[in-house]
Amino acid sequence: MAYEIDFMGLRLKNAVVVAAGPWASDGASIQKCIDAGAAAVITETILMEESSYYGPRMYYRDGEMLSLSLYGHKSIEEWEAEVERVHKKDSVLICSIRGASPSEIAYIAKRTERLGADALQLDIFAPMDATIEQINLQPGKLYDLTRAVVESVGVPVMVRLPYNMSATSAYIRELERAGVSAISAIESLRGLSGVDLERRRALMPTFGGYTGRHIRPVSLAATATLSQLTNCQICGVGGVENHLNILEFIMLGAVTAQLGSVIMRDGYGVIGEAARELEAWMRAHGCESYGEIRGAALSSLQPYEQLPAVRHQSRLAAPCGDAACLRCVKGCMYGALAFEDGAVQNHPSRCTGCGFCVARCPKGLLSLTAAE
Amino acid sequence: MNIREIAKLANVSIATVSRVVNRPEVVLPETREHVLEIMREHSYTLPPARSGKGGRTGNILLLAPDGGNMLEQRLMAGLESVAGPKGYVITLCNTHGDAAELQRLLQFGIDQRCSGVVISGGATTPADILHFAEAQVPFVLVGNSPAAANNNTCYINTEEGAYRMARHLLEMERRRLALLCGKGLPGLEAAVRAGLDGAFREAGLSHEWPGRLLYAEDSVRSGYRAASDLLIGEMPDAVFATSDELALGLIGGLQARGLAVPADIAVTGFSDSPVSGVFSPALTTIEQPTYKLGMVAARMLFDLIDVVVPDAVPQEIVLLPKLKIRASCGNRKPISTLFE
Repeated sequence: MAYEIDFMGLRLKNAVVVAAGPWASDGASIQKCIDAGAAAVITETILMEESSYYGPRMYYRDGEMLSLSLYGHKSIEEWEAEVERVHKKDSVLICSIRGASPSEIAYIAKRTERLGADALQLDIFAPMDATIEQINLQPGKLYDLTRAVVESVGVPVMVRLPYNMSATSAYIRELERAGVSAISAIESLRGLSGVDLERRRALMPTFGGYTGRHIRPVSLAATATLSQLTNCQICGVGGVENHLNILEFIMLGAVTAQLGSVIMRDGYGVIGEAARELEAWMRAHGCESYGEIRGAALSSLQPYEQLPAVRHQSRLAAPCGDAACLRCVKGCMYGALAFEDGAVQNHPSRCTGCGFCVARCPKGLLSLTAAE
Repeated sequence: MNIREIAKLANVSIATVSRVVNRPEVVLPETREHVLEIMREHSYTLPPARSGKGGRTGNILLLAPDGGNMLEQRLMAGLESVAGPKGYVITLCNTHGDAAELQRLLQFGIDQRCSGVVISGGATTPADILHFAEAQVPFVLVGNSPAAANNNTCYINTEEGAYRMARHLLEMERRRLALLCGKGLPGLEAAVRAGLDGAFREAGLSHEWPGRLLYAEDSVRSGYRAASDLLIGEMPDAVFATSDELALGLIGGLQARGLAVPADIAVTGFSDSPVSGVFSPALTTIEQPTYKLGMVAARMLFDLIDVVVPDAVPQEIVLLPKLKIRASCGNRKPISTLFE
C-alpha cells in the first residue's frame, strides 16, 4: 500500500521532506536525498548574490546545532547546471529562495522555476544576516513580497515563518490573500552558543540559526497554532528527527514535515529510515491514508482558560529512602514532599497537583490522582 | 506545439528542453533522449536560438557617468561575475554625464556589434535611447532614470535608504539635520529629500524635512571644504552626506576646526566605502548593493541575449539598501544586525 500525499497539488510518495540546508547544496547532495527515499527535497537557499564561505560557521554541543550561514553558496547559473544532472525519479524538487524586495525575489522565483523547481519555499525570515525589515513590521509588505512571487510563477509557493509569526493572524491572512499554497514553520531560532567567561568573548562572532531537537516543542506548537489559524497546508520543520516526530506533526495538523539538521548529525540514512518506518507504523496501525490521522490530536488541545479546574494530588506508591536522589523533594515548591526520618514523606494536603515530582521520579513511585 | 508544451509532455523544465538543443553535453543522456523523442513525436524543432554569441563580439559595454566612482566599479565587478563565466568581457566607458557622448558610445556599441549594453546613471531619458533601441542590441538600464519605464531597468531604492538613515538619526535624537548633497548626480537629491521628508513626517515632526541643504562636488576634498560652509549660520546636530567620500572629508574638515564627531555633530555616509568601517569614528552609512545590482543587470541582459522568454515585457528590479550603524551617528552600542 502506498501512502501518497497531496501537497500543494504535488504528489508526494511519502511524508518525508528534506529541509533547506547544506545537505541539499548541489546536484550530488540532492541526489543523495532522493536516492535515500525523500519524497521532496528543498534546495539550500538560492539568492541573487550567493553567500561566500565563512568559517567556522557550525557550532555543535549536546545535540544543539547553531549555524551562522543558512544560505547557499552557488550562483543561480551554477544551480542550473547542478539541477540538470539530478535524476528526480518520483521525487519533487522545491527551491528555497530569498530576496529582499518583491521584484528581486520574483526574478529569482522565475529563474528557479525555469531551472526545474516543482515548487518554491520562500526563506525570508532567516535569523542571521540582514533582517528584511519591512516584512517583519508590516503585514502588507509580506503580502507584496509573496504576491510578487505567486504572480510570477506557475508552481506552488510555500512560505517559511518564524515561530512568532506563525501565531500572528495578521501575517497569515496576508499570505492567504497572496495565494500561497502552504506555510512551513518554524524558521530556526536566533541563537548564541555561549560566552567564554575568561576571555569575556561570545563563543560565536555573530548570531546563528538554532536548530535541532531542542526546538521541536516550539515547532510542534507552531504547527498546532497554524492549524487553528489557516486553511493553507502546513509543513512542520524544526527539530524533526525521525518518523515518530513526523507523525506528531501530522497529528497536530501538518501535511508533511521536514528533516533538517539531523541529516548532518546522523547521515543521509535517516531519510530512508524515516520513510520506511512511517510506512511500517501506518500499516501496523491499520491506517490507509494520512488523512485518517491528520490533525487527530488537535481535539485534545484547548485554550488555557478552558482547562477543567480539577485539583490533583500526588501519591507515593511505595516508601522511598533514597537520600541521594531527592529530586521530588527539591522540586516541590509547596512543601508537599519532605525527607524526614530517613524517608520521603508525602503531605497531600499541601500538594497543588503540579505533577513535577511525577515527571522527575526516576523510579516511577509518584502518581497524580484527582483530589477528593 | 511550443517549448512550454514540450517541456510539460517530457516532464522537464523549459530550460532543459532549451539545453537539449543548445548545450546537449550538460544534460543527462537519458533525459536528452527522452526530450528528443517527444520532440520527434510532435515534429517540434526549437526555433534557432541566438546560441553562442550569435555573430556578436561577446563584448558588453558598460556606459557610466563616472567610471572612477567606487559604486560603478562594484557594479562592473558584479556584471563580470555573471558575464565572465559565460565567456563575455565587459568594457567600461565614461559618458561624463554628457548626452552627446552617450550617443557616440551607443553608436559605437551598434557599429562594433557588441553583444549587449548596460547604461548606468540616473539621467537617461527616453530620447537618449530612442535611436539605439531600434538597433536591436540587447540593453539594460541601471538607475531609476526618466527612461526606466518601458525598458528593462534595475536600481537601488535610494529613497528607502535615505528614509532609513534619517529615521535612524531621529532615533538618535538628532533633529537639526543638514543634507550635504553631491553635485552632478541626477535624481539623487530628489530621492534623498523624499526619504528625509518621509522620516520627518512619520516622526510627526514636520510635513517636510526642514534642514539646511549644502551642495558639493562628490569628493573627499569637497567634503573637507564643506566644513567651513557648515560653520557659517545655524549649526546642525547631524549631517547626512550623500556619499562616504563627502562624509569622510567633512569629518576631517570638522575635526581640523576643533569639532568632535559625533559628540558635537553627527555625520553619516551613503555608500559604504571600504575605508568607512576602519576610519575613526567608524562611519554610519548605507550599503548600496551595487555588486548585486551588477549581477541583476547581467542576468536581465542575458535573458535578452539568450532570448529566454520570447516577447517578454520589460522588467523592473529594485534592490533594497542596508543601513550600517557604526559610530559617527552617535551610536555607542556594538551592532551586529543589519536591516535590509
